[in-house]
Amino acid sequence: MQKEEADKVVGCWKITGTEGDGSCPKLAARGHCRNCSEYVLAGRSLFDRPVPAGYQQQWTEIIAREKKAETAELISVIVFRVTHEWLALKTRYFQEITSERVVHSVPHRTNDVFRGLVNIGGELLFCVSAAAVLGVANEAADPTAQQKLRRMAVVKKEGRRFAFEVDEVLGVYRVAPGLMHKVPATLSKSTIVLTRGIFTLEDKKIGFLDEDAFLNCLSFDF
Amino acid sequence: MKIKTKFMLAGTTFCVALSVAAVWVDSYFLQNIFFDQYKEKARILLYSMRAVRAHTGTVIRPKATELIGEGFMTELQSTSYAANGVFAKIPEENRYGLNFKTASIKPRNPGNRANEAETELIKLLDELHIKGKEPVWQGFRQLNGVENYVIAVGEVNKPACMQCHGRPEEAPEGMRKLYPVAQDDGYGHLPDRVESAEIVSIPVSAVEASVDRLRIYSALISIFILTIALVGINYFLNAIFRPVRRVTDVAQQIAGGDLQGASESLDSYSEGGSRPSEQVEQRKKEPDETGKLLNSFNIMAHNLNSLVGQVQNSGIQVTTSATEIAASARELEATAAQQAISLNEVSTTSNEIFATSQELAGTVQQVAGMVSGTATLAGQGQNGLADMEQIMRRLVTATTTFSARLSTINEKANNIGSIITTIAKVADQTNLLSLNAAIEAEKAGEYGLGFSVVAREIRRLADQTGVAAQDIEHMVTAMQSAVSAGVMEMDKFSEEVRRGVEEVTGVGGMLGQIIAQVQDLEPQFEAVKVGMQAQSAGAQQISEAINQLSEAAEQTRASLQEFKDATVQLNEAVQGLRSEVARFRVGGA
Amino acid sequence: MLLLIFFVGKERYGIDSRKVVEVVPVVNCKPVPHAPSHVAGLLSYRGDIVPVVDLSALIGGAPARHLLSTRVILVKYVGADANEHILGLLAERVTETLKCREEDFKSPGFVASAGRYLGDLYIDGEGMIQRIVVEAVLPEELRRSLFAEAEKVADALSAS
Repeated sequence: MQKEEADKVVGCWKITGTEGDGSCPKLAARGHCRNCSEYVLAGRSLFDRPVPAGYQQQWTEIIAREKKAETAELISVIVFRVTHEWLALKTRYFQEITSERVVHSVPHRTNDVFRGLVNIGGELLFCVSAAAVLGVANEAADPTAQQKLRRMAVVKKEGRRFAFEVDEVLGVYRVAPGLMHKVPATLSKSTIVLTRGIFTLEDKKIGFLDEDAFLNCLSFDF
Repeated sequence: MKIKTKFMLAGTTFCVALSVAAVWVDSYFLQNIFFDQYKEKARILLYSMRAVRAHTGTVIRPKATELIGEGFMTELQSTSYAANGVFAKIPEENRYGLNFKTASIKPRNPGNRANEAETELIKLLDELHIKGKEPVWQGFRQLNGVENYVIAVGEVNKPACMQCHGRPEEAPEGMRKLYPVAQDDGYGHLPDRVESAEIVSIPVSAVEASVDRLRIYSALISIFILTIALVGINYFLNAIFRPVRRVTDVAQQIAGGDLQGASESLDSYSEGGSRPSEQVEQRKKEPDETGKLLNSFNIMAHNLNSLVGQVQNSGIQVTTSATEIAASARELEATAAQQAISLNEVSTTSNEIFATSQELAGTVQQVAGMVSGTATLAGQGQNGLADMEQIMRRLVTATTTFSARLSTINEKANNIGSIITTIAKVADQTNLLSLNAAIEAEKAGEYGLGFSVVAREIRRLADQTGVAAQDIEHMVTAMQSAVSAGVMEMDKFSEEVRRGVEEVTGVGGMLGQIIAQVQDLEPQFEAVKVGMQAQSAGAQQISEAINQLSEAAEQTRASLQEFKDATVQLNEAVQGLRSEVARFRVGGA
Repeated sequence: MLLLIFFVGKERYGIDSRKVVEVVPVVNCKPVPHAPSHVAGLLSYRGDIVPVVDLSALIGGAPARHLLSTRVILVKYVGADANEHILGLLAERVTETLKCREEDFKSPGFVASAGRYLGDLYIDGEGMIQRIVVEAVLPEELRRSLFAEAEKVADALSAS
């Protein structure tokens, strides 16, 4: 055991892999050492150590407890921000949320709503500006301060996948429908059309998007 | 003497050679003569026996046959019986070793039966007869394994013989009665053939024995004559050589210096009584060459004797005086030499004392100089050491601080170890979470597909955390071991420094002692130096006085040496003369 | 289908994830007296008493080491009595799942009577993975006695 650990002091990814000279023949097929079984095994060997004191007892108690029954009434949503507006969309429409990507503009086609094409996991998807669709574009935007929090969200509607940029993702939340309020008339016209109601989360007013209207808007323009 | 020996040797050799030759020639001729004589004797015996048989056959047998008629009497009618009887009557000593036999291959008398060699001889004679030659054979032949001289004559079967030896039925009645046909070999002879023979033989060895006897006689006679001849020669030679030998003896005595012995010898030869002196007297009566020579020798020896006696006496006197003088001179010289040696020893010793004390004084001076130098240096060293001690003490403080800091680093590293455990726990739970998520996603079927991808991604993140955590762990381990090694090195170093401080302190103390002692030494050195110089001056004065004495003694010794040389020369001259004269032994002087 | 992978020594084995209720870390078990050595004991899972079988001891002969990656796999278990129970399987290095197709499994050809719980084989780039037949892990007699013991403990708990 001691000797094996000594052998693993310098992993092959540091010599011939992505952290080394990149000469490993398996690298071409796997793209990155993270996808290689050598790396995975090396990482997992961290778990091949004795259970720390108290850990086993702690878990014995955790699994002995009865699980709280989950109420089926709650709606699962993902809360995100576009410029200054906090919005929520049902979780099940989301395919994935990834880091910000480069958007390749398409000549003669790119406009305010259609931003261009984006590469998500090897697939080229249409990228739409949610701000433009919602009618909140460029209002008091401060791109430098919030660069780190920007994400690319991928959604799926009737077999078609789209990507749109958001300025921040707050997380997945379960919301009781009874907490929803009517949309006040102060909101912009287009926002009213696309929003079903409003709820409060951590002192934030969050617009619950009508999934059919919003997703139709995204795909309508093509 | 030598000439006489040569004469004796030559005579002896000549006589011996002559005798041997005479004996050898004699024996050769004697042998031949003997053999001829024996052959002759054999022939006479053979023909005598044949004559007996012829007489019996022609004279006696017819008469007997008339008297007896049909009967048969061997003693009267057998020729071979008559011949054998006559031979038997010849005395043994008159036979000369000769044998006679009437051998037959078909004998009536078994004693006449031919043996193997005789049968062969009879067959040979038979062949000669058939060829028409006379049946006679003589020569050397093996008989019964012995070499014999043989002479044989074959008997041809005549009609007269055939009457009794032919067919048995024709033989007389008495014959057949006496010798029955069935038991007798004497019948069946063939007409005109040789079937029997008279044989005379003598062994060759008998003849040779006679010859050998004769040889021994002749050799004995030769030796006897030879002895007489040699005695005669010796006597003759003595008569010639004795006077010459005496003169030679006397001359040798004179040459060796024995004048007394020479004159005694001459006197003994001239005095009467013994046989040799008679001979000398005979020579004096009628003096020959040797006699005159002896007289001259006698006169010369007497003259020499008296002269040498006088010289010897004078030489002995001179030698005695010279020896006494030399002895005195040697004693005197020995005394002088003894004195010189003593003076020399004293001088050398005082010189050595002077040199040694000079050296010592110099050395003491040098040591004193060095000691005061050492004191100065030690003082400087002491100051330096004090500075050094100060610096080292500060070094000890610094290393202690450093060690403490390293220990702190070690503690911090240990904290990192416990943090890694926490990370491992969290990453493991993340992995567990992803497993459960993947299982749930699988159960959700179509809806869970995306979720399963997320679960996989989460698992990957946990893997990366694992790799990173282990990297940190390895680094921390390496750091900890490096720090531990550093702490150990620091401890060792500060220990050494501490020991260094102690040693420096010790050395400083010792240097202080040395300085004190050296300062005490200085006045003592001075006192020693002054004493040494005083001693040196005294020794030098002694040395000078001795040198003067020594020169005087040397002069005395030189004069004595000259005197001694003169006596030695005198003695040598006298000794030379004496040794020359001593060769002569003088009598009566 | 999705296989949950675990190790016995250097060999990989898999459990059909559809049978799996949940995977939890290694926990304390109450030992069952007179049970075979591969029975790790009983554990309390969300109000139920669940018997736990040590797969390392069962397959490899040596009890599972208590490491971070050693986990208890809780599976649905339908016995000969047609009742659904939950069974705990203690295994080492439970850290990975594998997507595979049902038709790619191959029969091992030879099955020892004591190893009926060892099912088909699946081959990937790293070697072979053998599927565990969950229903066959406990022989009938042991199953009955184990679950009876579990009920006894559960009754005792509720009574107190």
